[in-house]
Amino acid sequence: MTWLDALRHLNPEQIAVVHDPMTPRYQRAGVRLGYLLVHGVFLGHRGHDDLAEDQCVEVAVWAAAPSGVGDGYYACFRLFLDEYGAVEFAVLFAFYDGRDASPGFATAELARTYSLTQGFHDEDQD
Amino acid sequence: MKTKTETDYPYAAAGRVWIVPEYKLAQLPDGSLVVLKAELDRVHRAIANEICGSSERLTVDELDFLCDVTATTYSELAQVLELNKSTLSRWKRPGSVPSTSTSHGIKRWFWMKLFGLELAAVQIPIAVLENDAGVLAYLHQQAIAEGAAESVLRRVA
Repeated sequence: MTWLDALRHLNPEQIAVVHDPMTPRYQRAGVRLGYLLVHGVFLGHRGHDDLAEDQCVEVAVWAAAPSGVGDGYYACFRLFLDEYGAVEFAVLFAFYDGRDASPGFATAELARTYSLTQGFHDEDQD
Repeated sequence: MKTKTETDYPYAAAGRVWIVPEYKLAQLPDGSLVVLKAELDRVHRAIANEICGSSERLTVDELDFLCDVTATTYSELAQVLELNKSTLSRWKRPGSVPSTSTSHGIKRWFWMKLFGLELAAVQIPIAVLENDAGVLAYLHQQAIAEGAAESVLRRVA
């Protein structure tokens, strides 16, 4: 199972959006969370700065906007793992859609290129 | 997980601000606040029900909101409406769906997608069937009465 599959299998009590406080961009992220989970493509994964690899992994996901025109939705999720390595909770902690001075990516390739600069790598995952 | 409840929370979505009577935040072990998808789904269903039950013509902001919360692409919607996807994209310029009948049809389709299975047993009185706006208003009320959606208010500008 891929990280994105694992994310999709979580129930609605196991996925959250940061509220720190809730800015307009992250309110949009909340609205688009369900869409991202259904239509998102996996861009890459990386480790967490402070937590061990067997505790947490971060993934970047991109989805074309529903209209298929303009910037899509780019999001990063922090996946918290249980003692067996299964994802038990996920938090969307970054969201870009080309608005509010955030970067925007019209294609998955543009989003993937950006994610590489942020330390995500897209090697196959077990 | 600890929770914190905000009352009369202003929630921006679909091009306007909605007043959500109760909005629950969760606190992670590190102290940071998050909102669970379950809570977002509850709020979005309430807002979607308000949009679909309104007799006003659907705006593009509302259409995009309904697409987002139901994970619907314009391509899928265009297929349902038997329109070209580019026709839907052209609605962005005027900012709303061009005809009331199309607006009602889209609202009914999204309402069914959100609540149709859960409220399949709801019966619509024949008198309500006289016009589309009446049907939408009735479905909106039924979703609230049956507990499938809560009530939220539009904030008056």
